[in-house]
Amino acid sequence: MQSKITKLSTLCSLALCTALLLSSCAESEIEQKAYDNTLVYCSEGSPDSFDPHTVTIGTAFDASARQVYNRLVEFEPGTVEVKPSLAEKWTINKDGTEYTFFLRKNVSFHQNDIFQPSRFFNAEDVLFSFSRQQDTAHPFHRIGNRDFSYFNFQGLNRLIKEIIIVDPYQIKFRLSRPYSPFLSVMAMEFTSIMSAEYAQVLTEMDQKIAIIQKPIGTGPFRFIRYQADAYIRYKRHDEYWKGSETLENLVFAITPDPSLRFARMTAGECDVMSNPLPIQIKSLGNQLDVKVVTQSGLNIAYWAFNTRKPPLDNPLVRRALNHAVNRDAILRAVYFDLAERAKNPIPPDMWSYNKSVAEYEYNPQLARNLLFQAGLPDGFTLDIWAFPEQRSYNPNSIKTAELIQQDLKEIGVTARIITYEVGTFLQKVKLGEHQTALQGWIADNGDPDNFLSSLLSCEATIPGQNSAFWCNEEFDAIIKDAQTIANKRQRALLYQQAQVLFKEEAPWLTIAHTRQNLIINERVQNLVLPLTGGIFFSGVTLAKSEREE
Amino acid sequence: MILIIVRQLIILLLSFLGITSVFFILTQFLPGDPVAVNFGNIAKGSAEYQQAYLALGLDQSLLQQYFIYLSRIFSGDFGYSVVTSRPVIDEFMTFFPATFELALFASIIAIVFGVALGVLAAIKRNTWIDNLVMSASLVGYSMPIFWWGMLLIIFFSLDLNWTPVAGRISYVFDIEPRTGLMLVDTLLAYSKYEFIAFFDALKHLILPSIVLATVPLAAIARMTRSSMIEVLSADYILTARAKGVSDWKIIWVHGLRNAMISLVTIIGLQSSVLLTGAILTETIFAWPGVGKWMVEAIYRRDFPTIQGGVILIAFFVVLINAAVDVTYNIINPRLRRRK
Repeated sequence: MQSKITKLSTLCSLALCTALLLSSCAESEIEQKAYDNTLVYCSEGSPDSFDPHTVTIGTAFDASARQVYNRLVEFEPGTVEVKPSLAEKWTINKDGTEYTFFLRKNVSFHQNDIFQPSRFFNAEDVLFSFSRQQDTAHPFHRIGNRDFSYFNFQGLNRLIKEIIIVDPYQIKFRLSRPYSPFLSVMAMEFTSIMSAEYAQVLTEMDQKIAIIQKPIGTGPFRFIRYQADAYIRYKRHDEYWKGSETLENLVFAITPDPSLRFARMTAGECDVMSNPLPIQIKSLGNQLDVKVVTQSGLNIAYWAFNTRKPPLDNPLVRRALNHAVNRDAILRAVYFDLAERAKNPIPPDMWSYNKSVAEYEYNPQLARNLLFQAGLPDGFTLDIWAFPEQRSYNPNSIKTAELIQQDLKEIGVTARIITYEVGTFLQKVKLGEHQTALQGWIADNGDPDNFLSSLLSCEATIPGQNSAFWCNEEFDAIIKDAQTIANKRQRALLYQQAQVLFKEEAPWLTIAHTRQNLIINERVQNLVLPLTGGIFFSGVTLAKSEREE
Repeated sequence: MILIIVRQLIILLLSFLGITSVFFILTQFLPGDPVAVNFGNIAKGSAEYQQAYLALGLDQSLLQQYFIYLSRIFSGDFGYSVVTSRPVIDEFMTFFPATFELALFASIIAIVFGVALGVLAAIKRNTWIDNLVMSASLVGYSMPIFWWGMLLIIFFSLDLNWTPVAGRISYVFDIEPRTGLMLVDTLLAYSKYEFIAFFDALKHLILPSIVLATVPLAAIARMTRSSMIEVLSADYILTARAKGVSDWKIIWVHGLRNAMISLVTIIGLQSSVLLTGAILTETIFAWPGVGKWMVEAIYRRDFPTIQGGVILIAFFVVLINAAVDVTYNIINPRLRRRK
């Protein structure tokens, strides 16, 4: 009897082993071919929508705008130089209030199971893509019940006075005032061009919602299928106007947990892994088949002093705090030396960056002297508000705050660390309830205005992104001037002047510019990371390689 | 027989009513605007808002609201996801097959190995085999499964490279989700990948189903052992032995069959353990099933999805338990005769 039982269990385990063996032996030409034609990208999450006009997070832009759509203009890969895309060229009138775009001909849209484009891209599509965002009565405005956050945040709702179709391949934007960053804004993902014809077909079918669920664009990859929390599948767009991609299939394998993502990467289940942790990059070391791709990012982490709250209204005190903090220690402990120390409010890769600005060196003695001059020989107490979550510009704000707290003790300043849940934190900082706050910013486009106006202008204090509530008339006049000038060199001079003023007045302690990192398999080639963040798979190729199991 | 089924149906109906009323009362306590909770962000004062307001019956009494709610649910309307704008029931149906496939495999593993180990322990009572099986099952029963899952991934996937780390299939295969059951879908794609995709899907099932099966397996093994011991010491087994019936027949025909009666209830109860375990297992293995779907919905504060999802899962647990009760009545001759 016993032997029979044992036999049974042996049989069971044998069956399991056979299944295992069989499956791991299933290596063949078919699989190799599928493997050679497919790039798997382990991404960090599901997109909240495929609507490039309403989404706000990078994950969603990666899934829609950056693969499926094109804009009128785009950034040269790896730079922030604006170059033609769907618009072949453009003219700007003398006042800088009229932009005329000359559109590319013979650009075809994708097709899917419910839509077959009958015409090429033209001015109607551009008009549709912008009216949809601006006109609250537009039939596609409320689709998906989502806000057009970027369109409104960039002020386009007030800036664009009207859009006129001159002829099918010429379209004119009339602005309410001269605004020189306009072209950079037109390269941003939220200006992606949708198909007006698709919208019309969907209206007839009474399936308007499909415009954000089954996106149709002109981009290098065509959307095939999405299964939430599992994968997004794309195929190359064979009639892509830049010439069809060599990469045939693109799959986003959605893996939110960073450890699991890393495990998948090392096991060879994905070719590209997003957002690796600093510790994972360090641990890669000698692994042969994977490597790290890195690109400086257009971002900044900073410590903002609320200049409306004494004693921080005194520039001497702010300078003292700048001298008191050992930023190199923060770079080591928080960023694992994978970031660069920041000097200016804009990152070094951005045009108009002022190299010659004098830096505040770490010097507690000097800091104490400055406090003495400011009439605070015994120091004071200070609140540091630390951002509660990990961000690409600061992996750990609380740890940063703790290091600052230690340094401040040296100069007799007693600091208290305060934090709230994200929503509350942002709300309270916007209202200026904080004394100091650890914050950060990631570029939306390559224009310095995107940093200097959005974060430091007087306008941004009523409630806005200016968490230092620093309103300096001289600084404000400079950046306002720069907005109206079209000549880039003249603008750059103004911005460099603004940076000097910023540093003297010290409304922030500038902490770090982080790098964007990806881990990729060796077979992935020509992957260029854009400065403005995110990932574009256009132009990427796969080297043929034996798959190791 | 028919009486039993009718009785079960009535119990089923009552449980559904119970679940829905508890939910209805709970949603009354949710903070915020009920329109926003059910339909997402709609501007107050818009025509759309008014329409949603009337659809929920918010201008009527609470009791009428409850009936409106019931009629919505019984017509399959669980609202729309705030995030994807798709009907919750559709979302559920896309995620459920993955969970079903996983749970089915896990149940098979749990029942086959659980019963086998339990019987083995019962026969070898008080030997080292019995002790080993019982201690192992105690460890399995009390082990945090996310830890266990990661351990298996590290060992089998990363060190030995035998099994894949996560997901349902390697994404190099383009499998169209026709039934949602990956094993079936890969077979339907035979013309494209032959059996390769099928085996790949099978390989992806191994670790998650082992992890999910661990707790129920341990419970079933322990239950099998104790009821087997009880049955094996019964007089009729002694009689059978005295009559010279073979050991094999005694254990599998006389022993296990009678022990199964109490086992069926335990197996039925494990269905809810499987569904809760699925939440953890699916998160560990990035398995796109209802468990992971619920977790993501909680992260995104997608209230309609959370509400609809929990009710649907509760329905399933009740349904499975009803089915188990019917089976129990069928296989238990004592209850059968009572009719």
